Amino acid sequence: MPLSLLVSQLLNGIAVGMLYAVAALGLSIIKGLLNIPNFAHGAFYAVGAYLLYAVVSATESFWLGLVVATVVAGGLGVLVEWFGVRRLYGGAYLFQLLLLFGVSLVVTELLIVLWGPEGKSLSPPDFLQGALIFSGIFYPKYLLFTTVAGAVIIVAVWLLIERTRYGAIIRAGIEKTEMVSALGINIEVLFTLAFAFGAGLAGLAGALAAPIVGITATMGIDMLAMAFVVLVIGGLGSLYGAVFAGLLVGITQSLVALYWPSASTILIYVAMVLILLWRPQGLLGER
Amino acid sequence: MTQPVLLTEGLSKAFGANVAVAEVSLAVREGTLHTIIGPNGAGKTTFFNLLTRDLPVSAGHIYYRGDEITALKPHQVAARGVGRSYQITSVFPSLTVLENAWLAAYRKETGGRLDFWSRPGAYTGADDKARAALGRVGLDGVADRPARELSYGDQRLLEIAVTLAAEPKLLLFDEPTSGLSADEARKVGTLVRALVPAYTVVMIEHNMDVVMAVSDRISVMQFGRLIADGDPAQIRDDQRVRDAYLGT
Amino acid sequence: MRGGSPFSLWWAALLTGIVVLPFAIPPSMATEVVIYGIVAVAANLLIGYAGLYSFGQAAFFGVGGYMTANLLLHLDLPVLPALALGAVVSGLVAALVGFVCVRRTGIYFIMLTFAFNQMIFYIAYQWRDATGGEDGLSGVPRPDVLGVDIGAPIAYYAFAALVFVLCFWAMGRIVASPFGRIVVATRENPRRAASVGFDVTRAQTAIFAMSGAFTGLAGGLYAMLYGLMPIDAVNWINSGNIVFMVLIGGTGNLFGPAAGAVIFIILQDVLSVVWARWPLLFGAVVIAVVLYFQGGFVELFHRLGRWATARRKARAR
Repeated sequence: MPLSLLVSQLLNGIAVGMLYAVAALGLSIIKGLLNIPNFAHGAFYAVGAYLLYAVVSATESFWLGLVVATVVAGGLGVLVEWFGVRRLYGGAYLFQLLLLFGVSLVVTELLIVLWGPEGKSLSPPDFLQGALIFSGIFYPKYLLFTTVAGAVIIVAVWLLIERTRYGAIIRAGIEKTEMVSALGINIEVLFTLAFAFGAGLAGLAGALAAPIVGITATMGIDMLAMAFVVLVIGGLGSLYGAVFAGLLVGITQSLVALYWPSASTILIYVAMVLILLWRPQGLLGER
Repeated sequence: MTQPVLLTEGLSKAFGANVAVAEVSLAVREGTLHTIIGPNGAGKTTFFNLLTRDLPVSAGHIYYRGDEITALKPHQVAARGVGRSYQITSVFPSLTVLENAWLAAYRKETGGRLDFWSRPGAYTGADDKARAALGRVGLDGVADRPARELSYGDQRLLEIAVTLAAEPKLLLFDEPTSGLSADEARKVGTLVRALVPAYTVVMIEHNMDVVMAVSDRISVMQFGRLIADGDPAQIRDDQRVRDAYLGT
Repeated sequence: MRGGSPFSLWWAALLTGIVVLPFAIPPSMATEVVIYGIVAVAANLLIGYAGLYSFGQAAFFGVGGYMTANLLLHLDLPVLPALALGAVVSGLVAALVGFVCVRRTGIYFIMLTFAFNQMIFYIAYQWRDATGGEDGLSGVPRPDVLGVDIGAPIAYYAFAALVFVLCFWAMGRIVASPFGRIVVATRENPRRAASVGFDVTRAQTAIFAMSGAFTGLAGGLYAMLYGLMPIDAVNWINSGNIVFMVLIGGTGNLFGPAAGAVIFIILQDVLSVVWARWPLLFGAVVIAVVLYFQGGFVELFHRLGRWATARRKARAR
């Protein structure tokens, strides 16, 4: 195997890993604050991809598409939290899960109703087409863009959470919800915002993924399973474990695909099992 | 001198930088009632949690009848014959009072076998033990009520009965009288005292009337450390204890 | 379910339902009901009794279904051993999956069951020789059982219903056994269960495996129903459907989820007639049920009962 191919695949893995990381970060924030696994996350992801497709088809503007994808997915998050999840706080936990399952079904089917059952494909915008080639290494510009965009998003989220007042509230909420209430902060608004924020990140990740993986209504499910795996590997109570594990999963998947394509996904699960048996709290998790 | 039933050497637990239990070395003699007292936050319950392995140990050793049990899992410690009750009432609320005690007795009878086919009634030995344990604490009259329907005081008694039903050799009681009226507390004190010397009992307790009346030996903890150890009269007269705890 | 009379009343209702069902709805649909009845009751062993919220039951349904289908198709095994082996293999797979999943509690447990479901879906999707991939595994035969022809829809219903009753009875025994009590204890107070001396993760793994085995058995019945084991049966949506059946039926006993299976199959049938994109409607129903009708079917029964009693009293006065 030539080294250049290996490097190309590594670069590909980093780009995919960034997308996992962004999606999983959104999931992690929702999980941290609301303590639910967001089964609708995959649907929000697909919504992002379709919206980018729709906006680009209508206006040719990739940037506008990214913004719309993020904002609408976030808005959808507000609706779901406001009219659904919120009404079930303190009730039976399983009802929240089932609600999110229902939302996922409805949204996924709506995408099919609106855009038809066949998948869509979307090329990267003109300025991101083609590839950089250096010493035999083939690096599509869009993958470079995705990697940079992913890194920027992650840094932005980090700054938001670590360096702003809102971030401090979110961190406090993850540590102890009662404390936030005691501080006189409206916990309901915090939850709505956190859910919307997480959903927005899913939408953005889906939009960024669209030109790479193609667009189908069920594209979110594979991502969701991977994002769950990423959270489990990353570790308990660790927001940034998601970033680390997301990259790890993306890179591993891409590299294994070189040698044994059909096993690349299965191997991630095998790795997850081993990590769980070795460190039940996850790689970066605390006991 | 005989070997202690329970022995800890330098037992410590740290939560991050916060040391909850610091180098506690304690010996408990067979057939005695050994009480641990100390102000709130002294690390008494954490100490129990280390003994039963509900929490991982940071440093030090635990020996039960000479065998090191520091690395066992909670259910393995229980299987050796160490029973405990919790400070916060800890029963199985939807099961009946008898079923609560029965589970513990069944564990003792069968070693925790996962028999998924018999009727529980087939285990008559476990049934008898459970009923005996309930009789001992005076709950035989409400055996068929779900545990959640019991009064708080009765739930505390059930907690003790469940612990007894497993027929442990060493009993760890975490504040068995907490939240009880003075009358109820005295009753529980008498009950616990009656277990000795058939059982060895280690008890965390705040009610000083009970402590002084029933204990053979008292250990005092403060800030995670053991600061005094002696019989009730010695503890009453110990100046450090007075300063630290009794506040006189 | 303590005490004789309400218990036998439930049983009477169940058996009556089984007899009446194939006359009320088409036999193949009735067969789906009893098959998913097994699945839902098995899922409630986890959800209701063990407090383990599995969102991956479809995986075991699939493993059992593909296993039985292959044994019938390629090894010409008789029906009963094929079904039994399907159950055993799915039970073993569930034991492995459960062994890993119960290492984590709560939200992570749920995520793990979902992730494993997706993994098994992915394997089924890729392993075309054993599963037919996207098209499903077709041509599954339905040979005689001990010399009895079960080819006719109603005959197959009778067979599936018999299996259902046996499974239901067996699960009833499990729930009422010492192990059943241990499982309830690990749900209500895992720490206390451990301090009494029970190995909590071992008990949880065991109930997970048993639930998986029953679910796999049902999968085998399903493969023989239409002679086809579709890939959709392994899809996570099917796992969600199973949780829905359990919740709408009620988690308090074994009878509720069986009723939940009836409701789900009928609902699915009605909705799919209304619109090809029926999952959208179904999703809306799920949301509505969750938001407005949490007690499920059993609570509706109770409410109706209370209402009827109140009326009777009012009239007597």
